Amino acid sequence: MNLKQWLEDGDPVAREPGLGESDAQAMRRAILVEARRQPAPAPVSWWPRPVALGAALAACLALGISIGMRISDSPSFVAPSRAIAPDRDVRRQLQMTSPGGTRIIWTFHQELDL
Amino acid sequence: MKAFRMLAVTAAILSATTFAAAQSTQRGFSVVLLLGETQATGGGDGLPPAPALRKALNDVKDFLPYKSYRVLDTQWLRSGSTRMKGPDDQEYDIDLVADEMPVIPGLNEKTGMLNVFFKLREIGAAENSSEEFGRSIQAAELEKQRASMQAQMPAAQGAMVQEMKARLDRIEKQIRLARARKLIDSKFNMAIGETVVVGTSKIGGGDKGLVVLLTSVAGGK
Repeated sequence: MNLKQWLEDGDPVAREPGLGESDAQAMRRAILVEARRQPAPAPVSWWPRPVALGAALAACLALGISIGMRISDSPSFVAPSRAIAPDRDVRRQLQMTSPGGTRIIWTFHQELDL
Repeated sequence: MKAFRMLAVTAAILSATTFAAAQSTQRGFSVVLLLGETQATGGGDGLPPAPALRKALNDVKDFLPYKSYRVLDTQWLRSGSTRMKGPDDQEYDIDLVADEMPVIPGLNEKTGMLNVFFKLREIGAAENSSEEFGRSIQAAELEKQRASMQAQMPAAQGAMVQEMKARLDRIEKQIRLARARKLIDSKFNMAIGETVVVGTSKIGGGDKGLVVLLTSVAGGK
């Protein structure tokens, strides 16, 4: 006889009968009654979280716009600025400015038949 | 709490002021869709007569490989969406969103600058990559059907021929819709009164390209 067998033989729960149907139903009812007694969650106050979030977003937006404008305010000269990462249909985008000041924003596609 | 309220009120006043300023200084956009071709065509240059548009195209002609341009469609758009006619009965959906950029002392002191989102799509183009994936499977299935029908065509007789041709036409249209693509999806800044040349072509050139002359038109106060 090994240790595992000794533990199994000495376990009193293994020899107990299972929970009766009526006991199980009683336990279930008790749980349901307690669950219904729980108070509803308190309504979340509208103030100030949405406004704080909105203000933070507005601040981020303003900062983003200003940084973007700083970057795009570089001298207008023929210079490709950036290539946007291609997605599934393999597109590449190029932005440049002509010496006359007109800007070109061009998108290249791997497959495009017109 | 009070500080948050003051911040919210300030933001609302700033937004209203910006909106009012945008309303008073920017009236809308002129959108001219051109087809650029590497082969010169007879009968004039086909360019729109407006001097600003001709100047914009003259400015960029050295950067584009096209020898001639053909006006496909012209629209006036305040903002939002419109549909434009392209070559060979193809139509395009245009989406344009423009917001006037707020003046922020020390950061952005230019007035009348617009933040523009411009999209040009073939009609029926997928909105996102998962939809694109579904469409590509659908297109592959339709192409199989088309190949099968084309193989059966020589054996068809009488009224069957007409019926099969009609079915082939329907399948061709469905394939075109399933293969519809987003051609341009760009974000850029532009000044009121400026013309920006937005276009698309095949990588490596191709003999044709779609060119959009987008002009932000100023309005009176």
